[in-house]
Amino acid sequence: MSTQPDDRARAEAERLETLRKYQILDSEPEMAYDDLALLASHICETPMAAISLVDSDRQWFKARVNVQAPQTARSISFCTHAIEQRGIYIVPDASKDALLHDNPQVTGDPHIRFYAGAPLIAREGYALGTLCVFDRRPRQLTPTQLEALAALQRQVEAQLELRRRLFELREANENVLKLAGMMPFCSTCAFTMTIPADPAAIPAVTEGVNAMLTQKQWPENQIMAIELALQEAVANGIRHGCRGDKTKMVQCSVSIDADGEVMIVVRDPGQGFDPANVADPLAPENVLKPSGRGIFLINGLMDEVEYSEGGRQLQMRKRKS
Amino acid sequence: MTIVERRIGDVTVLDLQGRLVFDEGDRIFRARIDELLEQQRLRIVVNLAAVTYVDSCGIGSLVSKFVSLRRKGGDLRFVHVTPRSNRLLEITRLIGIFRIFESEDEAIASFSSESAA
Repeated sequence: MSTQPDDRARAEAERLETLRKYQILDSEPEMAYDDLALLASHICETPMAAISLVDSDRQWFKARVNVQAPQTARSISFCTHAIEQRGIYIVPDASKDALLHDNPQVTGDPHIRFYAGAPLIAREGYALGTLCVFDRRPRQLTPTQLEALAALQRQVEAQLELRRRLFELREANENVLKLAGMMPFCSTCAFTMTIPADPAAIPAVTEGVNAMLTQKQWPENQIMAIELALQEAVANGIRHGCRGDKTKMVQCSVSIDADGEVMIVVRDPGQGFDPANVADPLAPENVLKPSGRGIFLINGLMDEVEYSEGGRQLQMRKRKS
Repeated sequence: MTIVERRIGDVTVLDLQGRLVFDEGDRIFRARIDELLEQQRLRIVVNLAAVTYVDSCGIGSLVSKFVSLRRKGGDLRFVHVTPRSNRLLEITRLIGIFRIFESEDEAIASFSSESAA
């Protein structure tokens, strides 16, 4: 690949950011990972195996078979090379490898000769670390062993994904509880939805609100206004708050109280923004700009609009007329 | 969003159907106008009769392509603007900028009174 140094640095920063999302570095050993590393060493008939995660300046082992150190410097790591590529990285004899022959793990303890590392790929496509097997003598893996190692790699990836989903669900759940807590007690009708940051998911929310207001016999023009304000708010959350990352979530709560006031809260996980810095789309120099009308529309369509949490949360209200 | 294209002389009529919204609808619309720009078909009438929903991104795509066509000596004109879309164009002050017609014939004829783009 002919990537520029800047691109490489950016990709590495994003890879590390992705790795943090698993909250796995320095976590306690877990049997699921230990078992998979053990199976890899048995199937590949190597005395040593590990599940490594490559951090900025170290590789840390989530699981180890006959490996003493809990982590090693990245500078002497084999796995740091393995994550540079896709597919299993094989070093038949490290003492004859141009890149690794003078590596302290080859010249000294544990005198590694053979290494095979299967990169563990995150859902974003970044390699987090490897499932690797190694030996003190030069050798190769049979096609069957390679196939099995790839299958075990997929199992480790599935474990990692499960771990991350669990954290995401926990966070989403906490946010939903927080949103629900903001809804007035007297609300006669309410729903809360958490949707992926995917534009295709917006109609589920807007149509839900439309159905709710129609059932409450709100006037059609008001329903349209609220639906559009919500469309704009959720679209902003997806585009700016989540930067189109479909793995992120936008939360939305809607309630109607007994006095006929609808209240909508939309929340995204982004960096937020300062509503005061949004340009006026009606200014002559902005009328023909391709974007910048969303917030203006929300403000015009709803009775009250309030941003909180640094712009990450939008609360808007409209009274039935 | 689906777009049916008809060519009447050097005018292209686009019948839009569905939601002109973030992001599918506005993406499809932009891509279609870009194709026409490449083919030097610069006189375009957009029929909004069957557009059920427009948001700020949809408006943004209309503005952006209106500007691109104007720059090349063409124009994007509108016909059968529903009350709902019309309201949005009013709020965003585009009503005085876009040329909007009651009938398709009028919209097409408006180009013929001008010299070829």
